[in-house]
Amino acid sequence: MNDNLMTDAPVLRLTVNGEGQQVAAASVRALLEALGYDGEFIAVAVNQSVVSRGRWGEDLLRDGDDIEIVSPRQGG
Amino acid sequence: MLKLYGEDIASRLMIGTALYPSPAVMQAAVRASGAGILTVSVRRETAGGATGDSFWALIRELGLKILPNTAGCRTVREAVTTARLARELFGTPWIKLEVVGDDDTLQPDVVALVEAADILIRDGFQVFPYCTEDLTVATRLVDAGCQVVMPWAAPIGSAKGIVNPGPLTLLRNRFPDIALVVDAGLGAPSHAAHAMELGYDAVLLNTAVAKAGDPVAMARAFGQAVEAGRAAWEAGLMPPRDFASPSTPVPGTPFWHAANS
Repeated sequence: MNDNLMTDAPVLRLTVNGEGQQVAAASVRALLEALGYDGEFIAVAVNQSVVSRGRWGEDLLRDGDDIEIVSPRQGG
Repeated sequence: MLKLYGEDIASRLMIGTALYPSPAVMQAAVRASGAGILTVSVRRETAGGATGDSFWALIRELGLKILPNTAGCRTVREAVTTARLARELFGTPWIKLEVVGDDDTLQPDVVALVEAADILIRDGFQVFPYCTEDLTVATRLVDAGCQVVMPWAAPIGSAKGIVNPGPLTLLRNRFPDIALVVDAGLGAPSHAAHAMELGYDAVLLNTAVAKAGDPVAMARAFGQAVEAGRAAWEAGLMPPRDFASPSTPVPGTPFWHAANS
């Protein structure tokens, strides 16, 4: 966990992959670090809008946001 | 050669990556099939894990074109968002668009499918819609801009083969310039050959190989069946008829009397 990313961010009540979480993170990157996501091949949607990797550093998370974190899987 | 959205594809078999007994068997089966396109999916990642990374490493070793799907989506919005997540993950505009309309049959919700296809095509996607064999639905998909249409043979994983060949033939006749792929419901290599003999451009399958006693051998058999079926279509099949016609010449038959013929 990166303390610098956690310092100033208020705690948000988020839904992450269907589960309620309280996380002090303002950006997608901070959220992923706080929750311990370390996979390289992941994609993120906030309130059903994809947040491209280039925007992971932006402070765009808001209280009540619904977040999906996904990765490649087997499929037919 | 098969052309999908302007790309030349060396094989007319497309194969899924799910349900195999192990990752090693999956890789061996894909290689044995000779498939040119692999289908994959997008699922929730767990914190602390890198499940997606390890799966993706296996897939990249195979070096094939990737076709992500929206399997399991039930609404237009879910399907559209999943497609956009897939584009972000896999870096491809290709999407196998699935919108489930019924739990027991996994029948496509064709109304939602057409709406989602329209949204995605306007957003720059190249859509491979999984649909039924309904002519009007296929027409709407083509009107929306789909250059590939993928009707089922039978419900996903049912292994029934082509239960409704008439409407599939009608689609072939109506859309000579659209790439038509039979997707879902195939159980035996003969089913795949049947689809190709109807003039379909390719077949997409998964369960029939993954759940076979020997998936690698079955993958090879499907690959051979697809090639045989395609060769038969190109050779020109004779039309069926209701009465017998002797293959051995009649004149010269011993004891034959022309008056009796």
